[in-house]
Amino acid sequence: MSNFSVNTESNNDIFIVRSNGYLDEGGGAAVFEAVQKNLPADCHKVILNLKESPVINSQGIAQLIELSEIIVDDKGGELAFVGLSDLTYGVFKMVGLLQMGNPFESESEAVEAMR
Amino acid sequence: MDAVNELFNDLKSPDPAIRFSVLSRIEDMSWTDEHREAFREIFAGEKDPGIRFHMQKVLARLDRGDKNRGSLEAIEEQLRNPQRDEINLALMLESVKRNEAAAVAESLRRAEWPKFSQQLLPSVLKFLKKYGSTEDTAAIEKLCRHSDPRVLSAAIEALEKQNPDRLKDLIVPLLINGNFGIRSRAVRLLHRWDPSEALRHFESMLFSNLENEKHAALYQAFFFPFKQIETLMLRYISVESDPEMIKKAGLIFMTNPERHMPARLLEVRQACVGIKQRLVDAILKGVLQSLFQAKIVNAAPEQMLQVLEAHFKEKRIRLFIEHHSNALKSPEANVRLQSALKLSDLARRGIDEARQVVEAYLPRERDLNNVRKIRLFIETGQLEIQKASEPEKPAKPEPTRGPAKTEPATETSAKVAAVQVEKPTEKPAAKVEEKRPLQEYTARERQNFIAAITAENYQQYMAVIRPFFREMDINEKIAVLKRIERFGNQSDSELLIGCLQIDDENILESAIEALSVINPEALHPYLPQLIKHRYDEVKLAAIKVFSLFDKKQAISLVENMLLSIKPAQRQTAIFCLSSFDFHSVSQTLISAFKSENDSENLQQISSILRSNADEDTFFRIYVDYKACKSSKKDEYEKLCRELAAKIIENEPGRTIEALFAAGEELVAEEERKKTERAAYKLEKIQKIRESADKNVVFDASLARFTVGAYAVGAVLTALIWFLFIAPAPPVAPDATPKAAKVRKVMETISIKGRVVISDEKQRTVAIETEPGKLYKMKLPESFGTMPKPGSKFQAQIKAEKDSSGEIAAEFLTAF
Repeated sequence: MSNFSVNTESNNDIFIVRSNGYLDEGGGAAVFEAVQKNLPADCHKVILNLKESPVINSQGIAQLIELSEIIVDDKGGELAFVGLSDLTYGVFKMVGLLQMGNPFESESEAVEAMR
Repeated sequence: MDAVNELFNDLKSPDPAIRFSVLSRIEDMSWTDEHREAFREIFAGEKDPGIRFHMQKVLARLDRGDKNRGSLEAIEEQLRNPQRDEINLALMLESVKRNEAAAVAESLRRAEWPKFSQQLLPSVLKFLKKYGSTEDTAAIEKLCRHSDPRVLSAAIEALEKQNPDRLKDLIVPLLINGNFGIRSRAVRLLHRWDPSEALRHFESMLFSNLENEKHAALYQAFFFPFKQIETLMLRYISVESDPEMIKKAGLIFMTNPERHMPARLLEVRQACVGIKQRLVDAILKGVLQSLFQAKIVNAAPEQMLQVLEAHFKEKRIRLFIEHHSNALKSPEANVRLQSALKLSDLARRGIDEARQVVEAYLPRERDLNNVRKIRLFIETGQLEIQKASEPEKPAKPEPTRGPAKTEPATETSAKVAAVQVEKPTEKPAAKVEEKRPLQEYTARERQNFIAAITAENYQQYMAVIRPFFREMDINEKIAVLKRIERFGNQSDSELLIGCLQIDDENILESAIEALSVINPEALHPYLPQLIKHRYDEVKLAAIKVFSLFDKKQAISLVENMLLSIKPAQRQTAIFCLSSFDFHSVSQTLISAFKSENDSENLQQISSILRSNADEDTFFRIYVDYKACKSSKKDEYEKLCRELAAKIIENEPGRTIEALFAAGEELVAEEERKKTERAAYKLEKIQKIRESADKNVVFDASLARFTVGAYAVGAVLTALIWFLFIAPAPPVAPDATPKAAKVRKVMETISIKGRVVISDEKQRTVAIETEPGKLYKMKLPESFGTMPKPGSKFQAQIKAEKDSSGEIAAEFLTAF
């Protein structure tokens, strides 16, 4: 994993995760860890902003699927994806990630839809 | 088309699995009134009870519009009612509040949920996947053997979440399940416990003749670590001809950008034509883009592509030089001459390495005739002067331009060129015709004339050459063919096809090569004859072209050549393999290394393997090395060391010893797994499935070949198969066909075409879906009035997969 970073922000009842860089296995693990560590217990709405991660590989996707299952299935929460590139949109659609969360162009649109 | 309508189209698929999978995606989309109506219409036509149930659920949700109806009380009320509304209950289970989930689960247990209808079970299992406990494991496990794939699939998902280890015992029934989706899922599960065996199953699905199985494998491919499947995926796109499948596979490559991948994709691109070449080109560019976007490389995609193309060319030249350098050691003077001429040609194009090889060879050549011819060619670019004593005529109508840019001008041609440049004209060819016909040229003049053809003057020069072409000698003809290959276009096809009737190996080879560049389709009708030609070089050139259309069969032809008892013929086959993209033939090469005994051939195989050294190849050869008990073990070790050295060149952190240690570990692991995997080994599963398929019809005519998406390629493949590769028919006329090698596969498909025959008495129709493809079937009384010839016809039918010509079909539903 090279130059991958992730930051999180709590915006009232919405938790935003922003990744930056190639989201491979290591990147996926970093996103996973960031959510596990920082997601407030009472927060069930998560936005994954992947705008700065235009490429997500198979193992990164596997991590995101696992994370989505935790957020949506286990926690009964809501998930939104922001800034998907054409490539990641196609792949998310194919592997069923878009059944777990809706895609949005921008964070503000996602926030608005979640409120 | 909007997203919902796009999904609606899938709901019209003849495959229930696809229709069902659409339903889960469709629910959360934004619906308009038109969408609702369209959905209702599709629902009215749906016959599958499981799918109808799910569609009703979707409609009920849309109509009622409230999502929070899954209260404990309401659910319990439904559970108590033996005449319960299952649609309602299924909807409620999807919207249970978390704080009531445990109580709902308990109520379900009390209501003996495993006895619910198979329509309702998937919803219950979905609920238990989220909120179930270990108490439910045994019941869920039982349902993992359910006959309905929807129940089975939901049960696997639930068990995978709750207690994945329990699935280990179910792996065999899942792997032999009749539903390809379940099988592919089982393969993914198996990957948890036995990755290498799972990948063998995955490989078998990916290269299956069943389209659905391939689709399922491609879907699962996203869930495997790409590094483990990249070689398979490369081989897959190299031999696949269905554009939709290639696009799908392309997504996997673009999602997993690896530094070494573009070079390999470039090889694949160069080994195909037409739409497939364009698709692979798009994948290649997509991977370059991903590499750049992921910041794995800093170079812009266009820049990288240029570098890769240059490297590719260098690699091809290197392999070409190695092959012909080996041929220079042949005991046959003509073989040495031909290879030396080819190397000289390369030398004349500025490749110093080729010149060095020729220079080193000439002093060793015993045949002085060869030496003379090669020296003449390397110095002048002329093959043979037939009338050497004929004086050159100074006043000649010369073309305006000098020789082709890539060929350095020789002393002789430079002199001619000097005369030419002195009096440039706008229309040199016209002048040629006016002043003196080509027949009157001396042999040398003619050669100069041909050598002077360039992209710019091509049409003018060819206008002069064409009428005289038949009268030219063989060497002149070859020279012209080479020019056509470089600068020609489809308008020269006729001339080239005419050359295919000439019984000269060099002309044939040149004509095939030229046609393969300017108009490969025109070669189709001639390939069957050319592929069985007595000259290996001709055969090889034909196979190379054939591979552009049907790589699988082309590879199998080369594999046949590799079985020859003549080392020279095997050498030709090995050289032919080097012209394929490496990953489509890597296993063939590895097997050839195992069976080959000729040291020169072994050297040639090693050379190809070294040029493409990667970990996957290394490990496959390492396994053979360890299994080798013969004197070839040393050769194997040498090759492994060479491959390891090549690999670490690109990965400086690694060592040869580390790679060897990893190889040892792999061999030991395979040994350890032997007993454990006895039950689910691919071969065993295939046997079980074969014996379970009792109703299938066997047909040896389908043996071994795949019909590609290109119709013309398919016909050609069949022709080549029947004429040259198919085993001889049984000798005894009354012999009953034995268990055939490959099953005849019936599939449900939708057809759209025109009625060409309609027999009202017999109620039979023949539908033409494309020229030459007729589906014949009987229409039931329920169909109503028989369609009239010429009318349009669209229906779902059952027919033999991959058939062509006149196909007997069974009518299912009319659209």
